[in-house]
Amino acid sequence: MILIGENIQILSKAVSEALAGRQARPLQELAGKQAEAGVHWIDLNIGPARKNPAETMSWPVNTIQEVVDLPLSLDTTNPVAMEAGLALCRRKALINSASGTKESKERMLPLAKKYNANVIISALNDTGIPSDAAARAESIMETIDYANGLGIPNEDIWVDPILMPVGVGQQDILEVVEFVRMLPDIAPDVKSTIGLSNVSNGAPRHLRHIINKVMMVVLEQAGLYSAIVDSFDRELIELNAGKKQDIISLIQKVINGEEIEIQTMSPVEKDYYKTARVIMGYDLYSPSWLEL
Amino acid sequence: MEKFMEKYPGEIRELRLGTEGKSAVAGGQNTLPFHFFEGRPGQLKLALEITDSEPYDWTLSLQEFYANVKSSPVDWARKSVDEYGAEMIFLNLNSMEKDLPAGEIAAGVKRVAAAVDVPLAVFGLGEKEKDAAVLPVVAAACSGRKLLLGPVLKENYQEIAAAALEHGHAVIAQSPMDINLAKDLNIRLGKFFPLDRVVIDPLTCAAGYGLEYAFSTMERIRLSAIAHDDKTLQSPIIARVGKEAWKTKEAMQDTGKGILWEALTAITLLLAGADIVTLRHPDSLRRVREMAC
Repeated sequence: MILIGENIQILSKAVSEALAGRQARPLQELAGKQAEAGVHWIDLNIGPARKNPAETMSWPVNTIQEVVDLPLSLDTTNPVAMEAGLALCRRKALINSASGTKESKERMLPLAKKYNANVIISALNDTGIPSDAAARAESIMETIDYANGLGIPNEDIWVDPILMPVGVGQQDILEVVEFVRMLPDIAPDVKSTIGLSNVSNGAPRHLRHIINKVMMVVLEQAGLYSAIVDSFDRELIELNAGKKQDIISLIQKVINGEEIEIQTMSPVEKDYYKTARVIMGYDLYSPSWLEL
Repeated sequence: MEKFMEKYPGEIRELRLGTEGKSAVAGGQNTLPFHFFEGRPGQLKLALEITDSEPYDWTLSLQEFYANVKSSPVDWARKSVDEYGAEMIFLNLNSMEKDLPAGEIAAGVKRVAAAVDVPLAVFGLGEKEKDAAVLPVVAAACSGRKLLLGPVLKENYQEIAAAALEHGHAVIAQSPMDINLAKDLNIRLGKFFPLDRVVIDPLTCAAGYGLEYAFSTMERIRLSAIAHDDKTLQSPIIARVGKEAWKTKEAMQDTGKGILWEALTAITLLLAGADIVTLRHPDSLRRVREMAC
């Protein structure tokens, strides 16, 4: 799976200080370390960039491109900032993101055509986040249609069905998995992506990684093309690289509903097993799900 | 017919309250609320609320209604049972607001417990430190009476439940309208406390003030317990309706409306899965009983 590193984002104090103070070093270090960790894209989340939007994006784009050669995913809701960044990207960029809202369709999508960029289209529309797989498909197909009309080819479109936190919408997880599974049939050549870490938002901090990892494997098995992830979760990167086959096959068994002998499992395997059962909706989530 | 019925895998643990000879039961069902046609229904308990000192924060019409008994918790409790038919007394420890010594508060609870033959629930302020200081003293003073003590929260369950365990009481486990957090608290309690002595309080709202959220939370807790056999959630549920109903604008304007508001909210939550409802007016208790029992 293609991994997009999420660690340059405005909600991080170090990042927001570096952006505000135009300190190149911390940003370049973060970008360099993510590249070393093995992700394939660098996400650059500068928030809504209300003041000086063009400069707020162009400065970090140039700064990061000085030290890494990875393609950039430009992450802002501000089309002026987005355009300023796209104009500077050396490699074909990724717009993160457009959606089915009227404003986004009219202001963000044309930029993908103009700058020959990839674009993430999320399931969001003017009525909110759709509730199930079919409603997500309906919303996204409509936006894809609109994008095609602008001359954006399917190969440049990455769709994001939007993953909710497990503590907010556990049943929603399976809808997202189902959507990912059906995507090749309804929109050939369109790619998929997901904001992976959102699934563990609100969960105890020290337990977020295992939720993220299991969720990634489940979505990968469903055919997910890419995910926006924590670059510094080393085990997650390793899992994605096909290491730890025993863990992957354990999760596969839970996905397939196979009988599993749990007495002989190691504590680590038990944790993955319990988490996979929660992700697959067999057990109701609670913050102490590993303690049962 | 039996052959064609699909049985649910889960059932609600039976909660026993009160001392030998005057004990009562709540819960115990293996089916969904009011599904009499397909299983063993649960035992409902309709409780009347009282306070252990003057109910200054109750709406004026209720204070007037209880004028003769409101300064004597013992008389109030007796009247609620003998005259109004309460199946349980829900005693709010509002004297804790005045920071009376815990021993004095506990002695008052003991007098009420001795005065009535129905189970007694004793409810603190919901302030984690004050409750953790007072409820264990109540638990010790009423040792062996099998009270229902609460609320226990994520922040103070260890202190209060430990005292309840030692002295043979049950507890009300309260979480903020969230099925995942209700499960979390029961998992934590279950490590040292028997889950057949836990009642879940997922919080509630009155009709027109967010009842949908309370309904949906209770309904999902009950479905998880019965239909999905989630063993951590197989506890009776309490809906504390009285307080919510009588602070609505409608109830404060007009007693008749208040009674309807309280009864309607209670019936709605019984449909969602509540096993114990607390009420403040005997007329709403009568209406709920006519409809539900």
